[in-house]
Amino acid sequence: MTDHRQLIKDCLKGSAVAQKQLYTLFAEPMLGICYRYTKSITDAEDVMQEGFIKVFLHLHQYKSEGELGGWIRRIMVTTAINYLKKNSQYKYDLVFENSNVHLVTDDDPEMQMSMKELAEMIRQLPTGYQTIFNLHAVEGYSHVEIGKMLGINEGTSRSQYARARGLLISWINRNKEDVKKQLYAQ
Amino acid sequence: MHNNEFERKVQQQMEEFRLPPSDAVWLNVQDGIRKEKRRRIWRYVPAAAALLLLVPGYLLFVHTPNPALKANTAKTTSTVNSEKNSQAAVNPSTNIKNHLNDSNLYTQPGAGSVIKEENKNANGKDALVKGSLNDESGATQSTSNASVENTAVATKPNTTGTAKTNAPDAEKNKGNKAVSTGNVASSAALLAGSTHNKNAAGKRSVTSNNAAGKDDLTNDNAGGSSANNLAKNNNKHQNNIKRGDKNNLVNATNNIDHLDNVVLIVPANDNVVIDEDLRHAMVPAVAFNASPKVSAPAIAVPETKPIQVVRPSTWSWGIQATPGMSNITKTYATTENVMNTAQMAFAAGPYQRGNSYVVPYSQPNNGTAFSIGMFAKKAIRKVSVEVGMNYSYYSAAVKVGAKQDSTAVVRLQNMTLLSANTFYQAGKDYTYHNKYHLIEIPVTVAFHMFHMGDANVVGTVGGTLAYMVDGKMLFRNSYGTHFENNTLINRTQIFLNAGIGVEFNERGRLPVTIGPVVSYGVTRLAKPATSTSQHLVSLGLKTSFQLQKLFK
Repeated sequence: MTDHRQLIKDCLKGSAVAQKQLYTLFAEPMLGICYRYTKSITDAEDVMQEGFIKVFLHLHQYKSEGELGGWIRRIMVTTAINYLKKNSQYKYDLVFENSNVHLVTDDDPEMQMSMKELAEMIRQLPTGYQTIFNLHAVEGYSHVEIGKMLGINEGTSRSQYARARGLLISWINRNKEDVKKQLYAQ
Repeated sequence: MHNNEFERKVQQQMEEFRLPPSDAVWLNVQDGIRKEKRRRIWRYVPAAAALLLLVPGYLLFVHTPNPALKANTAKTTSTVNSEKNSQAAVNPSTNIKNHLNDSNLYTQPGAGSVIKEENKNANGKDALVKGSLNDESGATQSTSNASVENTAVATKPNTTGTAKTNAPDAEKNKGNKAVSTGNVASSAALLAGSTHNKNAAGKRSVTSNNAAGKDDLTNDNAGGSSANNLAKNNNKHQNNIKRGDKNNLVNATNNIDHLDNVVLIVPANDNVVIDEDLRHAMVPAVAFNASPKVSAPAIAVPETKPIQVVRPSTWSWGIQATPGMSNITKTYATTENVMNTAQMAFAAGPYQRGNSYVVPYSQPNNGTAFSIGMFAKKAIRKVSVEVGMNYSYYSAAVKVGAKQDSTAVVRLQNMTLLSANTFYQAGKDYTYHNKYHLIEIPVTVAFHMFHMGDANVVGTVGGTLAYMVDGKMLFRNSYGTHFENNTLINRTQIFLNAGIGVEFNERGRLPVTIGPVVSYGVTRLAKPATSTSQHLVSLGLKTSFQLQKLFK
């Protein structure tokens, strides 16, 4: 666990240098997170900007019990969800049909793609799927937690996740075949 | 951690996914932090404003002073007061002074008191003090007689090539305000101070004289206040004022803003160009000499951004109701008055303390109050002006002693005798309710402060002209006798009001504004003849409904 206590102290004292240092330390991974939740890099930067403002304004609330990166990450995710709910571009896509029926898939496709390709694929999912997939598969939130965050029931979250997962796996498989075809063509 | 291999792989890959942000993001973050911090400060403004309103309200209506403390205070002054009050029946001006001393507000003995003695009743009137305002040039000399109620020494512009506003005068005026709260002694000492303006005409300087309470009347800055020191420093700035030199003039003006009183002396033949805005910034702190050619505007001032129009200029009307509580202020600092044996005949019920007889002052308590009425409001941008007409009822409970139905002759402050059919002894046995029925014309200015969700928070200040159509109240003469006499009621009243309101449903059919309002009567409830120098105060929750949309 990295010790950022001195950096936090300096930030709390209002040191601009320390704030910049903390920002530089976490900006890239956090933009990666924000990017997965949005449809454009501009929106991702907006979310991250809003998230970092919250980080600096609430830094006094951070208790050094957990990893600072984890704390910032949670803020970013929450900010991203709120951004999706508020932004007209996303909020109409973030409507979930209540359903307790979900597909059970145990597919385990072979992952032969880069991080960037996978991230782009996740971003191609419909906003609802994209959000739930990110929250469950990447962030590790349970469906109960996701239900509370999005104001939906647990079953809806599960079914949406299953659909998102199925869609993503099919895309991954198709991508794999495309790659093979390209290889054969060469 | 996921059990499923797919989720685990996705998580692993995405954990390491990074993207470099553009440089603008950090700048925006910094900007956002600054803005948010500024916004957070504004969040405390309503809380501070509410405190400003509620603390005096609490002190006026809820807080009950410790009687034991008052008794101790009375003890310390009883001997002195005993002697002075014994003279009260003989000399009315001395009587006034005795009441001042009752309030335990003593000024330091010094030149002020000496001069006061010399000037006392100089023109045969009831003036206590004569303040003089001397100019070393000898061109102007003004003399002001100051009475207890009106002790302001006029700030007199010098008509011989200089223009000035004197710091001591302002100090005097401040002191004189305290007269109404019983601090005449201190203001008298201030008034006794004479002022010399050492600036000869034609000398460019900014000075501030404060000779309050000092013997050495020729000594500038005798008061030694920080304002004077500032004034000294500002001499340099003022000396640098040159024709058309905008920067110097602006700097000088800025410095002047920090001073309560300055003397700006401009040579008669100088052509100093004063911008209209600067003129406003200076007035009333600086008066300009009529002789120099002052033209405006000439200095180019950067244009200010037009104020964003928030609301259209519209008229609206409605009704309001303000339930609350009211009380009367006492101008006596102590709760007890010391009497001699002769005075005892007028007020039964005193008790003996040492060699003195003490009559407790009555303690006013809160009474109910309410106000109902209608108003018309014109909103212009973020400010709205409201004029209305209300019927208001105020009351206060006064603890008095036993009721005596026999006729008594009451001697008032001005030595006139008055017949009272009913009077009450001093004491705490009986609760008498002062009741006041008024027709009021309030004029209120409301400033939009900020939004709180869908609601607007507004601050209000204003004044009310009122006429007391009916009322009953107890008056108290200096001997502790409480009596009724409606001819002594001061029926025309002026109030100052301040409050906070939250506007709900502004776009709906029935906009409602609700919030606390504090009101203070600047005029006395009783005519000056009595020693009952009390003012009406009230705290209420004003609720107003704009009705015009209902009738459209």
